Amino acid sequence: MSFLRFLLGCFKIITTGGRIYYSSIFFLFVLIAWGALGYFDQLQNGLITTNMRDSVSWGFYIGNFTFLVGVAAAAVMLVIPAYIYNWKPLKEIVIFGEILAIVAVIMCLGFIMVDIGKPLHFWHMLPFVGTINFPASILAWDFFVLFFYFILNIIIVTYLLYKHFYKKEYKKSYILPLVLLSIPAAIAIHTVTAFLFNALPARPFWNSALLAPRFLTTAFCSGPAILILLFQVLRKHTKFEIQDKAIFTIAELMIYSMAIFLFFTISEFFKEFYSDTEHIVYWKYLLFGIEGNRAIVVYSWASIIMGFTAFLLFLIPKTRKNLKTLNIGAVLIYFSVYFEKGIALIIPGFTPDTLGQYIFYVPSHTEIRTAIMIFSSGALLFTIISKVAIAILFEGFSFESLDKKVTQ
Amino acid sequence: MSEKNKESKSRRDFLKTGSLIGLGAVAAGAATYAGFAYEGGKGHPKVPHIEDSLSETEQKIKVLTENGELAEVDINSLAPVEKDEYQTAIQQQGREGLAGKHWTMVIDLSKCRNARMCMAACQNAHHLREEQHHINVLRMQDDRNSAPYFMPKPCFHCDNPPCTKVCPVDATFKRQDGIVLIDNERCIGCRFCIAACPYSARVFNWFEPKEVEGDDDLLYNVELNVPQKKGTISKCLFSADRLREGKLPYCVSACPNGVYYFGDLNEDTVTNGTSGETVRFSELIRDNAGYTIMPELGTKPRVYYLPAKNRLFPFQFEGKTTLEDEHI
Ligand code: SF4
Ligand code: SF4
Repeated sequence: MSFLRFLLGCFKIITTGGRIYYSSIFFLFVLIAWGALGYFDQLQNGLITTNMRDSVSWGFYIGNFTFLVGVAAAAVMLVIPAYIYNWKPLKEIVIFGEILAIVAVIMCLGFIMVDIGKPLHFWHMLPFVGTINFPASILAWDFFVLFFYFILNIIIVTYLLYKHFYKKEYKKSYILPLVLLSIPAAIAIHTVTAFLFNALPARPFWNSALLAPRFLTTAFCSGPAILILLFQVLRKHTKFEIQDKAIFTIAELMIYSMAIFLFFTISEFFKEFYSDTEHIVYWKYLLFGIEGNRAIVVYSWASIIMGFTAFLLFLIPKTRKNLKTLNIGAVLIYFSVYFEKGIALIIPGFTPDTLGQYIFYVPSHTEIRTAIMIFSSGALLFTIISKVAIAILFEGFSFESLDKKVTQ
Repeated sequence: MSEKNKESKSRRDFLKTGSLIGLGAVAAGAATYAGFAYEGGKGHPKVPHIEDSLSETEQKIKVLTENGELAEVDINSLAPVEKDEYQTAIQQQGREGLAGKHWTMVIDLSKCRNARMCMAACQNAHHLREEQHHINVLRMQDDRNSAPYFMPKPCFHCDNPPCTKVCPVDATFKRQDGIVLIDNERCIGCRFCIAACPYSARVFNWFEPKEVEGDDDLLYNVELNVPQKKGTISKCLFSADRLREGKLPYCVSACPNGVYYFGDLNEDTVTNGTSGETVRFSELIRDNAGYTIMPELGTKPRVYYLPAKNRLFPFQFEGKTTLEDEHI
C-alpha cells in the first residue's frame, strides 16, 4: 500500500474521461484564461484597475471571499444531521461536503490573493518566517482557522478515498473525531470571518453583535443548497444513493435557518430604523439608494425577493417535497445569499465613508473577470476532485484497476 | 577605500554632513554608504571622500558612539556598511522612535484659510501624487445654521489606534514617541487598516507611485515612506524624519497662517510653525476649548483642534476642496 500509487491512480482517473468531461474541462480552461487576462492587467497596473478607492477600499473580492467562507463552513455542517439521523450514505455525504469545503477554502485564498496589493509580501503572514500579528489581528486568526480547517478536510477526504482505493475498511475511530472536530472548525471560520468586519468602530454598518449569527444562518442556507443540487446530479449519474427523505430533511433544516435569519434581520432593521440615528444612512443606501444613486439597490432587493420566494417554497410542505420546486428554491436561496454577501454586505459599509463622502462603487470589468477566473478555477478543481471521488467510491476504481491498466 | 580623487564640493558637503550627523557608528557608516549609493547612481566612482585638507592617513571623522559620546576615529577604520545592514539599521531606529517624546499637534481652525501650503509641502516630501493626501484640507459645515470652515486633517496618531491592531503582519505600528508608522516593505496591501481607521487618514497606492527622479536609487526610509510602493498603504507620518533632525514637520513649517502648533506632550510645550512661538500645550488647549475628533470611539487622538470661532479670515471658497472635486 503506497501513497504514490494512490496518487498515480488519481492521476489516471483525472486523465481518462468521456467527451463531456473533456469538453467541460476545456470550457473551464477557456474561462480561466479569459479571466486571467483581466487579472494580468490588474497585476501590471495595480489595483487602480478595480473600482475600489480609498473611500470604498474593499469591494467585490472581499464580498466573494466572505460568501465562500460561508459555503465552506456550511458544507461540513451538513455532517451534523447526517450523523445524528444516521443517513445511510454518511461517508459519501461527508466526502462531498468536505470536497466542496476544500475547494471553497482554496477559492477564498484566491480572492484574498487578488485583493491584496502586494501578493509577494504575503509570506509575512506565515508563522515563524513572517511577522504575523497574532493574536491582535483578526485576519491572522482567520488565516489560522481557515488553514486548520483546510488541512482537516484534506486529511479526512484523502484518508477515506485512500482506504477505499485499497478496498480496506476505514477506521471509524480515526475519522470520527476528525469529522466531529471539523464541525466546530466550520463554525469558527465563519464566525472569525464575521469578526473581521464586526468590531471596527469606524464602520457602524457592521458594528452589530448580530453580524456573526447572521453570517452563520445565511451560510446554513447557501452551502446545503449547493449540496442538494449536487446530490441529485450524483444520484442520477452514479451509484450514489440518497433517499428523497434525506434531501427533504436537509431542506427542513434550511427552513429553520432561514427563519432565524429573517428574525435577525428584522431585529436589525427595527433597531436601525426606529432609533433613526445617522447610522441609518448605510441601510438607506443599501435599500433605497442615496442622492439618486441606486447602483446596488437592485441587488439588495433581488436578494430579498429571491430569499423570500425560496423561504416560501421551502416552507410550504407541498413545494418542499416536490423536487422541482425544491430545486428552484435552492437556486434562489443560493443567489440570494450570494448577493447578500457579495454585494450587500461590504459595499454599504463604505458608503458613505468615514468622512461622509459618497463614492459609488460597482465592480469594474477587471474585478468581474478576475472573479470569473477564480470561480472557474474552483469549478475545475471541484470537477477533478469529484471525478476522483466518484471513480473510487462508485465506479469501483481501485489499485487493481490500476494494475490492469498498467499491464495492458 | 584606498583610491582618492577630487570630487565636486556639493558631494563633499553631502558626505561631510552626512557623516557628522550620523547617530552612532553604524549610522555614520551608513551615511557614508548612502553617499556611495547616491553617487553611484549618478555614475561617479564609488569612493568616499571626507576631508580634503587632511592628508590621507590623518583623516579623522567625528561620530557619535552608541553611548552618545562624540569620538574621533580614523577614516580608514570605517568600513562602508552593507546595503542590507544599513537598511536594517534605519528600519530599526524607525520602529523604535525617539525616546522620551510624545508628539502632539494642535490645529487652530480659526486661522485656516485654505492656503494648502501644508498639503503641497507634504506631497512634495513624500512623493505623493496630486490626488493622494497625507494631510487634507476639508471644507466643513457642522450644521445648516453654522458657518462653513476649513479643517486640515492629518493622521491623528491615536494613542489607542484601531488601525495597528488589525494589521495582520504588524506592518503598521505605534512607536514609543507616539507616532504611528507604516513599513511599506512589509505591508501586504490588505487595506484592513483603512477599514479600521475612523478618520480616513490612510491612502493606498492603487497605482504606480508618482515618478520622482532619483527614487530608484533611494533606500527605503520607514520614517518618510519614500520611495512609495505600489500596492501598499501610506499616510501622514508626523514627519518622523524631520523630528529626528530636530525640525518641525513639513506641513507645520509650510503654513503661512499660523494654523499649526507642534510639540511634545511630555514637555507640555508646542511651537507654532509660522511664528516660532512656543506655548504651554495644556494652557493652549484649556483656554481655547481644544477638542479631539470623535473621542467616543476611544481612539485617543493626538491631534487637537481649536474651534473655528472668531475666524481671523472670512470664509472664502474658491472651489478647491477635496470633498467635492476629488473622488479618489
Ligand atoms: S487617525 Fe487613523 S490611521 Fe491615524 S492612528 Fe488613528 S486610526 Fe490610525
Ligand atoms: S494594508 Fe498594510 S498596513 Fe494596512 S493592515 Fe494591511 S498589511 Fe497592515
